[in-house]
Amino acid sequence: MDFRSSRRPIRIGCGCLTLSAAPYDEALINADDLIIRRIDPVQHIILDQNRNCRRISSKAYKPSSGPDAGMSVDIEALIVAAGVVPQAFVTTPKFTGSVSFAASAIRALGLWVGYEPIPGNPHHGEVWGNPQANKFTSAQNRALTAGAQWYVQIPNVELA
Amino acid sequence: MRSGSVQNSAFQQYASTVGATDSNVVALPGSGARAVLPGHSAAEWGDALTSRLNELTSLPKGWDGYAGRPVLFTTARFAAELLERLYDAAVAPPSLVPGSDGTLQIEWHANQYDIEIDVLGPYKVQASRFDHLAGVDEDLDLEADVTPLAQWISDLAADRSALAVVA
Repeated sequence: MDFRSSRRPIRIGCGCLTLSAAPYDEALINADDLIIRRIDPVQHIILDQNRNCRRISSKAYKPSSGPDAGMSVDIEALIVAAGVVPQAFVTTPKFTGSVSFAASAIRALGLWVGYEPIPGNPHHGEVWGNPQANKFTSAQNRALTAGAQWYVQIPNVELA
Repeated sequence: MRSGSVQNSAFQQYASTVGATDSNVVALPGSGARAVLPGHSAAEWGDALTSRLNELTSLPKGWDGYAGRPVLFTTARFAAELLERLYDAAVAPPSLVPGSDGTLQIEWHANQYDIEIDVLGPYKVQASRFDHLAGVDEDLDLEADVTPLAQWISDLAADRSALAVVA
């Protein structure tokens, strides 16, 4: 087995409590696995007068600023393995649009993607910067913005 | 989101104490007539941004479908002060976009510029500007001195039509 890192989230008891380890890249996430990022149809959308359109803000693709924080995502393969329809999962409990990236595309930018289950979302993951988890360079952020594909489309909104 | 909070939120009360009260309606000398100057009044900026900042500081936990939190009041307050400094009557109010972590991004996409000012906290700003006509990227990390941003905003109002033809 190809371990990119030995650091993994640790599940305790019933799996409803998880202690997260340091940021890492998950070897079990295959290159062509889809990584889903939810997009709020109101908060993440801006008017781009240069292109005369409404589109997703780059802020939607920036990591959180806390230590070891990254960019929250959903791991499609985990959702499917649980017998859940992914498009239904990422639009519950509130509707959001969403975009997706192939894991390989994220890694090609020098970023890590790993499991990070949280209460209420066992299929949650994170995209982390490397070497600094909570920092994407401008180039990485722009590449994510440009490389996103609709997963659950928001009407009348452009991707980038 | 708290109901009935628009008029009574702490941010709304704070916001009423900042921001210029200038209007773009002026009296014409000698005639007593009044005229509306073209552009965006400080009141227009103030009303739009106060309402939006009030909304962002009242976002419910999990607003982004994950563990998103509302914009922190201290961050919103600093952003309001920053915007007061950057106000330019020739420029429309910006878009404000929340981060999942209580931060917010101020952005304009106009006049073939993309300006994004990521307010990570008071006196902690990461700003970027892309010039579509020149193909030039600029990145700034700012704390107390936000002077470069004022020039960026001024450039948003500049006539670039000649450059656009060349490009």
